[in-house]
Amino acid sequence: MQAEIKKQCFSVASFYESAESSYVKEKQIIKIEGRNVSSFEAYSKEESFNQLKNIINNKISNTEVLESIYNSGLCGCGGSHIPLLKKWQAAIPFKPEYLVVNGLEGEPYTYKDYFIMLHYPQLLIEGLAISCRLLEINEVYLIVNSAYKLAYENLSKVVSENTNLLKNINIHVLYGPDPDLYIVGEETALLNYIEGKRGEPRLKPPYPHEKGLWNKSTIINNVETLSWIPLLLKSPERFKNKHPKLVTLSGDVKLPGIYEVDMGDSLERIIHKAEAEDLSFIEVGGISGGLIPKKLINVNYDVNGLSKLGLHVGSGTIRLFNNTRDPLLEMSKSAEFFKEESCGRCTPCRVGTQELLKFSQQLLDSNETDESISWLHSVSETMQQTSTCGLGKAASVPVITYLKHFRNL
Amino acid sequence: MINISINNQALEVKAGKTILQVAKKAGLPIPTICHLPGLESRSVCRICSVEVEGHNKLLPACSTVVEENMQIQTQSTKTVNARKVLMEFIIAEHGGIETLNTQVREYASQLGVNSARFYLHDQKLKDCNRYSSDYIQLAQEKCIHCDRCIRACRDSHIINRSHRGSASLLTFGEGDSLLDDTACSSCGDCVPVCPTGAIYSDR
Repeated sequence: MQAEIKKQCFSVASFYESAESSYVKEKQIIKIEGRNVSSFEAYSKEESFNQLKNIINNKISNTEVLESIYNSGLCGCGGSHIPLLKKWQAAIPFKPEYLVVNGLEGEPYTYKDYFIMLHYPQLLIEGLAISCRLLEINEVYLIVNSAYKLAYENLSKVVSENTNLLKNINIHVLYGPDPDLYIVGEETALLNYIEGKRGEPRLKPPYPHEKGLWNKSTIINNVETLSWIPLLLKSPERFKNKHPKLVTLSGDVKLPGIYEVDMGDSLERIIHKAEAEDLSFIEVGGISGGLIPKKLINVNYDVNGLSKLGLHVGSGTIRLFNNTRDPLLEMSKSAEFFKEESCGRCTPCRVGTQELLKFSQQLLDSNETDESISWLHSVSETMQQTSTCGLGKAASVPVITYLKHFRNL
Repeated sequence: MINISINNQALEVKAGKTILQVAKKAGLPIPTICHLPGLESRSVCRICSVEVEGHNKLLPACSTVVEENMQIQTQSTKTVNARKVLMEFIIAEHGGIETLNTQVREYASQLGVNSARFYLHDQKLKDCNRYSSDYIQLAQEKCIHCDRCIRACRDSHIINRSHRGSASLLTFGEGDSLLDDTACSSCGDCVPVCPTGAIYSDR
């Protein structure tokens, strides 16, 4: 009992301590495979930093680069799906001082950023260097998931080998906290982490581009977002009427891995490549995403298409389940995950996630009533309306989509 | 001065004020729990949520600064429903309604919430109460994490929230310190601000 109490009563510092979870183990042992990632494969090592050099040597002007980014329609790939330029433009009047690159990738079953940092670290560094030139930023914090040791080494190597090209930019490549600290991936929680504080999200407004790291205007971008910049400059035709994006396909499939897909394609076409076996249902958007049965897979895989089913693209995570799996059990696992991972700061999320788990237990025991289902919907609505950050807003998506698509409730 | 409307009533208010401040002045009070004048707003309890046109989420009145032409609803169905759920969350986490302070109980009764359909804290939390000092005691199982004590403390390192999710706890200093082992001077500032009796002094 004493040991148990000790474990419970730990400090702020130990907010970052390890609690070995299956998610962490998975992050550490996963063998990451890129499949059909043609844009990345077409970018040879010899071409590294060519786009940056063109900018430095005035072969392309900043305006041209911005135009190319605008024409590509590149959106935030960490889950926001806000056009990159829109995010940047909001920050310009505040004269951003820092660029934070979020490589924590805390979403379970998601490895697209790992894939990039591991196999194409030069693309990310080139993309962030181009961004720094455009935004006149010379201080970068690149935070890497601490389970991604090899990726960290590869990135550090690229930075140290290209000091000439990267002069005037101070790049801090840092490990994030223990990889199972999901909430630190939230952008303002990440700022707190970098400042050495408890990794709780901040109240917005002020937004990071107004008051970010050490109260200075800060731009926060995802690894994948920045890595697309050199690619879109090299091959603008790839972006013509298309929005390429990396997704992580896993679960009961023959070919799990990272796939380059076109947003707006049907989900059916996208998952076809991974060769699912006895497909029964699908989780779209990661553990905070939603569940849909096989019969709905002809939906368009983009923000509009998915939102009609109560789903979101999130960080591009898709998991497939065969007919030996139970969607109720998968939904309950998500509920348990959020009950553990809420940072505890705001009431709707801290208490609401416990309610979601209680309700999923009721479903597992077949004890649900009309009243408890109606209460669950009120809880979900309140969490979405009043939670401080995205975790609380998304936590009820698995249970709500389960009720909608599997129980007609 | 700027022009706004609250519950369809046009108002001219001072720029830079929060929705909570201007609503109170206009005689349209909004319930609050974590908010306390004099302490920075954290908007953690969200009981002050209001509807603002143009925003698809409810906004916390205690920290949202008024803007020109803002149209605010403090009593809409959406707002009241969310407050009811949040009040029930607070009662559930505290473990009942009777020992909440008068103000919170009054808000609860205005919302028509008198109990919770579930109670959360388990016995284990009580074991953490041994970190209390002679002067200031902790009843962890009553805490609703309004953060008032954390903000009222003169030293920002003494009272902390630790762990996370359903296991969130109030702890003292670094690690599992006894309150006596921290820089606490037993000034008692944290005691009267607590709305739940989770931090108390029987001296």
